[in-house]
Order: sequence, then structure tokens, then C-alpha cells
Amino acid sequence: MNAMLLPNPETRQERIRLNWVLAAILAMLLPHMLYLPPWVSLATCVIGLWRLAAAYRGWPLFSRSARIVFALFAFLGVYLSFRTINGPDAGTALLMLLAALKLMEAKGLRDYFLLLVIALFIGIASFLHDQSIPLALYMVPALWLAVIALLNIAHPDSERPWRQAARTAARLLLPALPMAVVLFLLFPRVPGPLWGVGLTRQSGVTGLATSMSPGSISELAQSDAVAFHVKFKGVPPPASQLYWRALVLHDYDNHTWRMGKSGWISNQRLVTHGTPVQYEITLEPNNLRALYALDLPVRAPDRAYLTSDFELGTRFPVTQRKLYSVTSYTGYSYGAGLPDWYLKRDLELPAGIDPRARALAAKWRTEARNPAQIVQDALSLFHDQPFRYTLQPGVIDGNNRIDRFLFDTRRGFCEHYAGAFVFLMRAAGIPAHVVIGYQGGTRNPLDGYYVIRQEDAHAWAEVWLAGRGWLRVDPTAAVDPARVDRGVSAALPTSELPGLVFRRYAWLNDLRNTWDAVNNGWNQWVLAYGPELQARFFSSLGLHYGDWMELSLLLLLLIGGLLAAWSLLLWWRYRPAPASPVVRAYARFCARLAKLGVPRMPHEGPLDYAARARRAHPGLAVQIETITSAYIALRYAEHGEVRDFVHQVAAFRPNAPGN
Amino acid sequence: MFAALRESLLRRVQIWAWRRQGPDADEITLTRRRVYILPTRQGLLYGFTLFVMLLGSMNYSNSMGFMLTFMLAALGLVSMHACHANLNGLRLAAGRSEAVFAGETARFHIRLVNAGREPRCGLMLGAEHGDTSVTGDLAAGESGTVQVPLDAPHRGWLALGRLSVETSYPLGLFRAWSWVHMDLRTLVYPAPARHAPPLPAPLEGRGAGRPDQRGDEDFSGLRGYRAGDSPRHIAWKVSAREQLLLTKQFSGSGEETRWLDADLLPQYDSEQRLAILCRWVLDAHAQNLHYGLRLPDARIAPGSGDSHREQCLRALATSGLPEHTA
Repeated sequence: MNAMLLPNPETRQERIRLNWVLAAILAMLLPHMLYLPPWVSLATCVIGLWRLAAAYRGWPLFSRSARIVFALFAFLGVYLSFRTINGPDAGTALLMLLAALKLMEAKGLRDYFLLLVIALFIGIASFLHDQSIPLALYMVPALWLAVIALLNIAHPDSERPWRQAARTAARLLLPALPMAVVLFLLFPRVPGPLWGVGLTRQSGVTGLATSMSPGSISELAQSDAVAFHVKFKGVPPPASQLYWRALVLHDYDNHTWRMGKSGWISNQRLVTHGTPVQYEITLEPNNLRALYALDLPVRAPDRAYLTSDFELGTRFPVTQRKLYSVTSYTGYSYGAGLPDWYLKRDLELPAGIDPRARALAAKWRTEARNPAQIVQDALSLFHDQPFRYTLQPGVIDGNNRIDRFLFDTRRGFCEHYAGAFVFLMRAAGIPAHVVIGYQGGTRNPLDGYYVIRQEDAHAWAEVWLAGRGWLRVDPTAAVDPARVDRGVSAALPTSELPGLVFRRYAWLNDLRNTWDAVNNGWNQWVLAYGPELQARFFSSLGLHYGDWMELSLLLLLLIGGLLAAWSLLLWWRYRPAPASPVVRAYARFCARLAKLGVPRMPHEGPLDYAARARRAHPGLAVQIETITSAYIALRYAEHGEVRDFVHQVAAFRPNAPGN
Repeated sequence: MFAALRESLLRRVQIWAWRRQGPDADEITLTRRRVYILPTRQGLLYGFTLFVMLLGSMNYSNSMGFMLTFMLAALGLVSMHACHANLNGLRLAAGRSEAVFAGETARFHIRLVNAGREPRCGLMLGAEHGDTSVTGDLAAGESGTVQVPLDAPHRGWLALGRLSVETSYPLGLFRAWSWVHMDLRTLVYPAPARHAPPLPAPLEGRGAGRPDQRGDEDFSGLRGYRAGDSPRHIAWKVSAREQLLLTKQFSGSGEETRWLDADLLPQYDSEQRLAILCRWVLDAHAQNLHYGLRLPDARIAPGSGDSHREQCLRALATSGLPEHTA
């Protein structure tokens, strides 16, 4: 054993800190590896490994200039990868590179503590990307590890086994959990965002766009991603009534239907009949400045507004899962008395295209007794002629696309039918526009929620009839009524079905339902917990929400109570241990010596005391010696027989005759 | 400026603590009343981090972000109580402290007793004016002695002063501490002069002078090495065997009395004089001479041996100082 080869205690402490901080960074970084550019995680890992090697091999750390160069390249790299240095993704990448930068020079408690804080930030950033159950479960051991790391950074001790540190960390985390839950439930939530949320993940979202062109909806029909969940209060409307309105498209340019400039009219004269349908939607991020609602919503939820077209608009794109309540009427009419200037844009068509369709519309117009008859004529066309509802309509190029669809190919998905129908109506002088959204939905028997997936995306039309206002017309239903009654999978040929495997194997479908119900519960109750749910939670407790004083008081009271309980537990744990028989026997021995005028001083160790007692009473030296050494052996070396020691003390009777 | 502000604030708090606690007995238990706790620099950074995390969670309405933030906040609170409990109930007992020479570091022995059923870790003890602290852990029910170092620059009585017992265990976010005002002091002998005139000649008339002072052959035994023993008298062979420095003791060579008299050194100032006298005492003791000490304010009758040496050194340490000055 050569003492010189062993690292000195300071180096050993540094190594403990380094090892643990690297473990914490790695644990927090792993979830990001799935989506961040690989070079970012790779750079951080390489620097981490280098730092580890440097610590064990005694390599010098990076110079200041090398760190500056690294920082510049890191910034440049992030900018080139993300085209911004803002927003959650680029921010996370920068955090990781910052950790790498700090690792290059890390030394001492402060640096390692800072690194651990960066690791915690990296950890919380992973939730910006994904708040799913698996990630939440992953974060439990990751947080545990981070706390062990914090303990080892603050108090590096090479003697302490890691199990003991893990136990200490767990014993801090467990009492923290109920407090965290109380804070989660009661901490006053304010509706976000506080500042602009950088958006970099728009490309990843499948869903409706703000326009409709051939193929845009059939593409969605291939995806079984969840668009939103609905929970009805009361009896759900029949499937054929489940038209989920998203956007109204007015402008056509021979290929694409767009929203166009929004017109505004203060009074659309809504007339409702029947019973209102109340429900709650949990909308997955759609990146649109629009919420979805059952045809037709009558009032906008908080922080949304009702447009003249009865869309639900929002100020910011929906980038987070959003929970809102809406009331709709499935029996309605609106816009009965609209003026001509307002309806004008729903009559406009690009000039000089699709002559055959225009001719057909003109023919209907001259023959029909009233506009309603024309609508019926168009639906009959779709119903009687050999039109086919298919996901693979083939591509129609060039001009006169509607002519060729109506008279040549006759194969299309809902966007083709809705677009062609609106075109025919406008050509026949009837105001009409396209509505896009979703139709249908599947009820999950496990939790009663309706799941609307992207495959339920749909397009239909609304026509305006004088005296009656806007009426919904679904030309797809004329082609294939099954689409509306039983959903897209019933209407399409089996070979074209998305998610075929779930229809073939019932158990897989059950599994999907279960997972969906668990996930939905997580979304509904945990992730969606914000001002709305908090208010509801409070009223269910019989408390008045909105009184922040009351809320804060309750919060303080509960946290204070939990802390008091924790204090009590600590007090119980630190309570004095009962003296062992050895200690009690030794105390008797000391008491007897004290009677002889040699009391033990508070600071005196057993050996010093014995030496003093021997000097004072040389006659007792042997006994004092024997008892003291037996005591030391039992107490500090845990060696010897307790009973013998107790007997020795009992036999020590200096006052008794004979001594 | 910030440091000065902090310093003056600390001073005020210490005065306040002194007023409410008063002087302590030689054995005390740290109670809730006297264990203070504040966040460390790391704790403040941790708090700021949590605040930023909270803002971020609010901005993105991120539930899991809230949960992690609250979990970390609760962890901080829990660790605060754990840190306090780590110190609360610790028992301290004053121990002896050995005299040192000026310029050395005095070590005050403090016995720590953990009567509780949990270990107490990361305990740190330091004198208010000391540069370093000692750290230690105590297992459940265990006790141990630490030596609190304090530089002893001047001769005289050295008081330990305000002793701080602190811990930042477990997470280093909070620092719990207690001030202990035990009346602990130790004697500091003058630093022996490095270059001193030779020992004064023995007094005439008391026994025949022995010309050869090195001939102290009458070996009488061994004793433990003490600072100041002449290296010539260390029993090197025995010391190597026993793993312990031992000094040879001689008898019979101190037949003549030497007076180590301050008046013999008129050319030095009083402190230098004490330093030289100190060297003389050590040398005379090492040579096992019979010597007496004369100071302006004290006179030690001639003698020899350990207790005589100590008596002389004590007189040197306190010479010219009022009783019990620190």
C-alpha cells in the first residue's frame, strides 16, 4: 500500500460530486434524446465522458478560450438546427450545451450545485414536450437520483455507502410528496401564458388545416391519433347528429377552399329548438386558433369567442391540451335575415372554369320551383349517379377539376363532395360554404368518453335559403349514408380501412380502450388541472373559489400542518435511545466512584477517568482497570460478554468491608 | 460594501443571541431555542430556480411542470426541518485543552454526544476567530471528541470565544447553527526564542561546579516527549520501537541552582526577555537542571521536573498581564 498513490481527500470528494452530477444529468437528458437533434445529446455526453476521464487521469481542464469557442459553436449549432434560439426545443438544447460548458470547468461545491440545477431544468423541460404517464413514471426514479446527487454534492463522503444516501433521499422525498400534492391542488393557478410561448413543434401535429384541398382530409383519415375527447352531460345525441364544427371556408380558387377574410355581422339571428346539449371537450393541441364544438355552439367558453360563422376562435393557437365546456343545440337555424352584401361572398366563384357544372346548375335553376328543390336536385345527383366514396380517388389535375370529378371520375372523399356541392349551389345562385370539422366518434365503454380521432375528420356544406337561414347539408351522406350513421370505417371498403388490426382483434381493441381510458383520465384530471378544474374542485369542497385570501390561508394551513407532522416524526426519530445495560452498569460504577470523591467530569473519557480514579485510590486500581477495559471493549469494539461486565460492576463495592 | 453590511448584521445578531442565551455551562444540550437556521447560498439559488420553474409551468400551463416544481419546493421545506433536527438535541461538553506556545495552534477539546436514535452527519465546529473548522459525523447513540483549532498568536490566556456548531446536512440548502458561549480558555506560553544567549552560569557556593555540563550520564528513565525537549535527549531507538517520541531523563546533574533572571537581560524588551527566559526554562528542563525563575512580578523557587517547568512557563505566560485576561 503506497499512500502516495491514493487520491487526497479533496480529489476524492470532487470525484464523488462529478460522478453523481453526471448521473443526474444523464437521467434528465435521456427523455430528450428521442426528439432533439442527436448532436446535442452526443456533445453533452462526450464532454461528460471526457470530464470523467480527466478527473481520473488527472488531465488538465479546458482553457477559457477553448470554452468560449465551444460556446460559440454551441450557439451557432443550435441556431442552425432550430433556426431560432428561442422556444422550448432550442432552449432545452442550449441548456444541455450549457451543462456541457459548465462541466468543462466544474470544480467545487458551487459549480457542481449549479450543474445539478441545470440538470433539474433539463428534467422539467422534458415535460414541455411530453407529459404522458410513461414519462411521469420515468421521472420518479430520475428525481430520486437527482436528490441523491444533491446529497452527495453537498456532503461528499467516500465512506458513505450509496444505499444509505439513497435511503436518506427517499426519506426526504416521501414526506415531500403529500405537500407537493397539496400545493398542486391548491396553489392558485392563473390562466397562461404569461409571455409568448415559442412554438417550434407545429410540423408534428396531425390535424385539420385552415384550408381544404383534394386529399387534405382523406390524408387525415389514415391517422388514428386522437383529436379530442368529449364527455356529455346527459343523453348524448345520436351518431348522425355528431357534427363537430371547426372552421367555415368561404373562398375557392379552383383548387383550395380557404377561410378568406372574415366577415362580421352583429346579429346572425340564431333560433334554437329542442334541448341543449352540454358537454366538455378535451382538445389535443391542433395548432389552430380554433376550438371544436358540436354543431351549433351557442356560447363561447372562457378565452374563446364565437365568430359570425359560429366557429369558436381563440387568440393564440392551441398548443396545449385544452379542456373547455360548451353548450350546443343540435336543432337550430341561424342567419335567416342576412343582407345580400353579407351573402355575396358565399356566391362568388372563380371565373371561366368548370363550364359543365355551371351549365348543370343553370339548368336546375330554371327548372326548380324553389331553391330547396335545387339542393335536393344536387343530392339526388350524388345519390343516383354511380359516385363512389373512397380514400383513393386518384389525382385530378389542371383546370375544371369539379367538372371532371362530377362527370368523369366520380370517385372522391368528403372534401370532393362538399367542395363540388358548394360549387354547384353557388353556380345555381344559392349562397353556400364549406364547413370542416369532424363527424362521429366512438364511445369508450370504460369511461364513457367519446373519442374523436383524426380519421373522423369530415367536410360538409351549409346552404342559405331565404326565410330559413343556414342549413347543414352533407353531400357525403347522400353518396354513402353509412358514413354518417356508423362512421368512416363502415362506409369505406375494408381494404382502405385505417387501423384495421384493431377491428380484427377484439382484445387488441379492448387494450386500446383501456389504455385510452387511463390516458384520458390522466389528461382530464391531472394534466388539465388548471383554473377551471381548480374552481370545480373548490366548489366540490364547498369553498368559494376566487377568494384568494381564503385559498392562500387554506394552503398555508395545510402545508403548515404537514410540516408540523414532519417535525413530530423527526422528533420521534431523534428521541433518546434507552441506555444499554452496559451503559447503565458503567453509570453505576461511576456513581460508586463518585461516592469515593472521584466524580466523573463531563468531558472525561473512560480512560482518563480511570487513570484519575486509580491515582486517587491505588487500592482499587485493578478493579477499576478491569471494569474500564471491559466497558471500552463492549462499548466501542462490541466485544465481550455483557453479563460478565454487569457482574463485575455488581461486585465492585468499594464501601463494603474488606476493601 | 455588501460584506461590511453582512458583517455588521452578523455582529448585531450575535449580540442579540448572547443577550438571550447568556454564558453557557460546561455541558449543554442544543435546544430549539438556540438552534438557528437560514438558507445557504445554494439554498437561495435553489429557491430562485424554483421560482423560474414555477413561472415556466404557469406560462406553459404545464401540470407535470407544476408537480415537479412543487415536489422540489416541498423537498426544500422537508430538508430544512431535517437540517434543524440534525443539530437540535446535540449535547456538547467542554474538555480539557493543553497549553501551547505562542504561534502554535491551540486545540480545544469538545465532547459531542448524540443521545438520539438517528445519526447526526456533517457537524461542523469552529471558533469564531478560527480559520478552520472541524467536521464529523456521529452515529446514533454515539459520542466523540473533536478538537477545535484556534491560532494562539500571543502568550497569555487564550479564550475559545464564541463557538459555532453548524450543519448543512442533508442537502446543503439550509444551514442550521448554534452559538455556544462556554468559558473555555487555555494558557499560551511565550514562544521560545530561537536565538538565545547561553544559560546563565550556576550560582556559586551551592555544591561544586561541574565543568562538563554535557556529562549528564546519570540516566534515570524515559518520559513522553514534550515540546521544547532538546533533540539530543530524545531516545531515538526506543522511540522508533514504541512509535512514540520519548525523552531521556537524567538525574543528579542539577546539583547547582541556576537563576533564570529577567534582570540578566537588560538589553531586550520585555517580550523578548520572556521569550529568552522561556527558551532557558526549556533548555534547563531538558538538561534536567536545578533552576529558579525571577521575573519582575514573580519569583519561582528553584526546582526541577515537569510540574516545576509548567509552573515556570505559566509564570512566563501570565507575567505582566492582569489576572484572567483573555
